[in-house]
Amino acid sequence: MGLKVSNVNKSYSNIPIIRNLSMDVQQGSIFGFLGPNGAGKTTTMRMILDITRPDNGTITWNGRSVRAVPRRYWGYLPEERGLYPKMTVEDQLLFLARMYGLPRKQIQTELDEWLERFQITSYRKKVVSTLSKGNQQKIQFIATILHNPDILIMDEPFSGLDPVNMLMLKDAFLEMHRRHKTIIFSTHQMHQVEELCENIVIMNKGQIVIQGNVKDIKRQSGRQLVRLTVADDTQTDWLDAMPGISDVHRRQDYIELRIQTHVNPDDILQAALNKGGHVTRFELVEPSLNDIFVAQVSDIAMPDTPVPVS
Amino acid sequence: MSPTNITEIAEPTMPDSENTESMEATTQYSNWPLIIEREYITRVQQRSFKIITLILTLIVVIGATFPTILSALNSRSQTQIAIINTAGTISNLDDQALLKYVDTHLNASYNTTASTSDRKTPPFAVKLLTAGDSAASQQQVRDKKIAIVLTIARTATKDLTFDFYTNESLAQNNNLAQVQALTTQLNIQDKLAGLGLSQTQTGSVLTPPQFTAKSSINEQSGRTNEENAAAAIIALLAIVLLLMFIQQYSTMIATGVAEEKGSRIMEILVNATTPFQLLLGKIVGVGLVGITQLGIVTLIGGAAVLAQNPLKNALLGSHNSSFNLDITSVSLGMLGLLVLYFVLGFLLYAALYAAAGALVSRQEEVANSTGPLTFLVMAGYLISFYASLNPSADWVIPVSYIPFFTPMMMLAREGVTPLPWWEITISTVVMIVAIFVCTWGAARIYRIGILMYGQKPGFSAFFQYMRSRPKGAA
Repeated sequence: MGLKVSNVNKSYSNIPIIRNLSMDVQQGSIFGFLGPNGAGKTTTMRMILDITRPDNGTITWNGRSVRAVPRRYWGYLPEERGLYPKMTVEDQLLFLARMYGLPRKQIQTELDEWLERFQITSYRKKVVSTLSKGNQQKIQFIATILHNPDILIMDEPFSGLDPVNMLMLKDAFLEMHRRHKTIIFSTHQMHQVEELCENIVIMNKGQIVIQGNVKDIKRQSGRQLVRLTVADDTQTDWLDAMPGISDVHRRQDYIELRIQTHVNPDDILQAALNKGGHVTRFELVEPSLNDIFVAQVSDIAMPDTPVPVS
Repeated sequence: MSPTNITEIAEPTMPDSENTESMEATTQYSNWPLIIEREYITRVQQRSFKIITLILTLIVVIGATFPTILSALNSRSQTQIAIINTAGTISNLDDQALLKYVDTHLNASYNTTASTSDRKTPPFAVKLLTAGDSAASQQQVRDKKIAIVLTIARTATKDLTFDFYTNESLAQNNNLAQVQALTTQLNIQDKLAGLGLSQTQTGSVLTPPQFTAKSSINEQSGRTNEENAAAAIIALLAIVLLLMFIQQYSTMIATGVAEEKGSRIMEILVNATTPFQLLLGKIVGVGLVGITQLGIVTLIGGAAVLAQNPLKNALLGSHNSSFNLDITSVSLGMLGLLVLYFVLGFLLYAALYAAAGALVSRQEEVANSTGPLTFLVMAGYLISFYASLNPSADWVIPVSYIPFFTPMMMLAREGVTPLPWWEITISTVVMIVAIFVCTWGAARIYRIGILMYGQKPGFSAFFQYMRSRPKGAA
């Protein structure tokens, strides 16, 4: 159960924007939605929200078409922040939550809590355009979750925040996860994805190029990094002769090299010891999501031909 | 915090089905009343709304009161005329009799209606000077002590000559015309007396015949001449008001849509509701603001019109007004039509302006995309203005049924002849049909336009959006 997108296509003026997209998002999970600019992330999000409709294919939430899902199940934080610049914080948030059919009284107590949490209670009667960018973003976040939606779709929720506000928003983000909300968010900051998400998709040119569990993706990427320092053998020429090893970079205080999955890292350690070296550092590093992203996206950045997804 | 930690904290649980169903029941509803509420309250609270309402109200009140003030000022003013007679006895009138004659004739209209006149004093004050005062009196004219010196002399052939000396302009000079008419009579009377006719006989010769003038327009409209003139002026005022209101509030719709689009709140709004509800809510909300302003202005303006008679009585004493021109019925009829055609005209243009606003990405570009519509509104104004100058032209009636021009054209026609009820009904029906067609087309453009950014506004985008697949089609 959860969100299921099956074989969705969408084109504008005969230009395909989304091609045969399928993905699953488990209920209650945090799902990372990655891809370069123009990959079709926003269009996909809009189709999930039933703001625009796919040309063909289906999108369901718990087995029900998203068209039939009541609007108040959805919370949307658009990429470009949107608020009425001349309305006060309180009026604005009350209006938006009431749009989803919530009674005013019920919103009021929720609103108090969130303003308190973000330490912006004093801005309650202030006009939004007079607030700082960080505070506007907090308001935007409250606007997304105030009507207590089940599914949160957030287009780059953490962009352009200072570290303090970032922490505060991330904390609120995790609070929504604790409340069993399903969260789909896009970002360009890979470390956030590694920190927050179990599952991701990476899109490029309207197609999914990778999807699945973050750990599996890293494991399946077919690459592993070894960092090695041998105290009395800085050259380690023997490494170049070993099979299944590539991209040997000799850095200032360590050597970094890639090994294929079939190579046992122990063999390298063994070889180093056999050469009589004194190994002061031996580290097995998973490739970062950043590496995978860049590799996948630049692989097919040029041609329009699809690349089979593992 | 690692992903594993998060999953440990949050073991996702399905919301229980009972709760889910009950939530559904409350979420399937229309939220355009809420949108109307927001549009109305935020706009009415704006300072610009209050200021414009105040200014318009002041203009209407001053406009209604101005003629009263003017006539009150007039009522105390008198034109001073000095007569220097060197012609001796004119038509058996000696100097004193001549003075009385001139006084009576120049103030004739005041004398016959003295009991009901606006004026507190006769319009002319006549005095007699001797020939020796001639130079001094002309200096008095130049000094504006007196307005006119009329010097009467007789030539060798016994003909009368009149010298009219004034400090007023001779163009469009009412006093000149009146005095000249009087001198013509004096001359005839003098000549007739020379022929030996008695004063009674000359009096009978000079009495004007009974002359009645009637116009079929008055019969049709059931209005008097004065009422017709007043109706034409009121119609022009109403057309200008209508132009201002349609223009102002339609543009408000376009900028409102562009503002929502530019600030990107549109994306949140369409997540919460449908584009059609947004469109409808905005049109009705802004329309109600317009009705509120129009209502305030016309109610206070109407009160000001009704207050004029008591005000006149207060200023002019216990006189009953001779200006018993009753513009109340004309005004009220026009007021009703103004409100009706504002609502219809606004609804017709509003959806189109909303679509124009949805075609641009930023608020600053609104003027470009609403240009053709503004042109249409202005064309309607100019055509109806022209129609009120040529009310009997053949094209007037057909053109008044073109929906984009109907509101102002109908007001222009009402200014000439009261419209029969069936014409109002038919034009209303035609306009309602046009409103549905325009709103349907505009809604299609709006629905697509609000989520598009960066496109050049223009007719191509217009038609492309018209053709595109609506949300809801499979």
